[in-house]
Amino acid sequence: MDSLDQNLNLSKKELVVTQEARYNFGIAGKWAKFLAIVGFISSGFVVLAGLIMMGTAVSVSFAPAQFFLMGLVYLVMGGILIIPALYLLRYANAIAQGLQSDNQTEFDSAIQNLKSLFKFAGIYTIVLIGIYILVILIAFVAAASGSRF
Amino acid sequence: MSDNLDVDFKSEQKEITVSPVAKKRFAAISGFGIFVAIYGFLITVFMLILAFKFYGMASDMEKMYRGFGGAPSSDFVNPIVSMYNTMGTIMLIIGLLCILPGVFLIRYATNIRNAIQNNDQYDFEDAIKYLRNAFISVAVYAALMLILIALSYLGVFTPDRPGMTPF
Repeated sequence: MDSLDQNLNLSKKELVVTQEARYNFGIAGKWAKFLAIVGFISSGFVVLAGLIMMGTAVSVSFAPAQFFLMGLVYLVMGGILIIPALYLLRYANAIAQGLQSDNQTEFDSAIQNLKSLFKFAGIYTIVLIGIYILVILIAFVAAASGSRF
Repeated sequence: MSDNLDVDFKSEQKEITVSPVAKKRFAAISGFGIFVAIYGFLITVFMLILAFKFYGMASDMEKMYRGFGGAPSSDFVNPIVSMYNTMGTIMLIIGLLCILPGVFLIRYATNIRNAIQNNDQYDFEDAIKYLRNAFISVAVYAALMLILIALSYLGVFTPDRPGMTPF
């Protein structure tokens, strides 16, 4: 009877972060930190490229508006790239602190940042698909009307 | 003996659990994870189609070259054929590389969903293992990309043929 009760309790028991899960969370956190650093460096390069293009737009005589627009697009892309890197870094730091000091709040915060990262990836994907559809529609309309872009 | 027991008792008290709030967050992660993984698979399919399209274009170019009896000269045709083949191979590699994180993501998402719904500890541990693998695979690809970018800046992939330098 006792053992039956124990089994019943086990099925109702909360999920526990075991040693194996801790190990896997820890490794995932370290790689997440690496990816975050790569993300920050990449976004820095993209922002730099954008600034260079915008600077070129001022001095160049050929298509300065296009250069400026491209630079602006690069700046926005660099800004967008920072967001997932930030979530990744926050996740990595929180999971490391949570596991080291057995801090439930830090662990919950890490999962919150992981959720934000996946939410961002999902929304970004939806926006990308929307842009693809828009480009295809514009191409079809352009082809149908016989105009050239 | 008493110290050992105390230590064990303390470590049990400090156990981290998946709180109801964390469960809700894991459920959201699962939904977005499946969506992103499916997108990854679609990209793979698209890349594979593109790869075979490029291989087909290379093959057509060669057939056309033979059909014209060797004119235009092979100096003109060969670089185009090799460019199509290289593009095809790049698309094939990118497409195949996209599969692995997608598989890990979808396994993570399905396992975490099962773990939360049924309080299944084994599924939870499997899910975290797949999350780790997804991060590792993406990080390895990022490192590879960085190495390739660095090598291209160093001019490793620049063709070293006479007449190719612009100035």
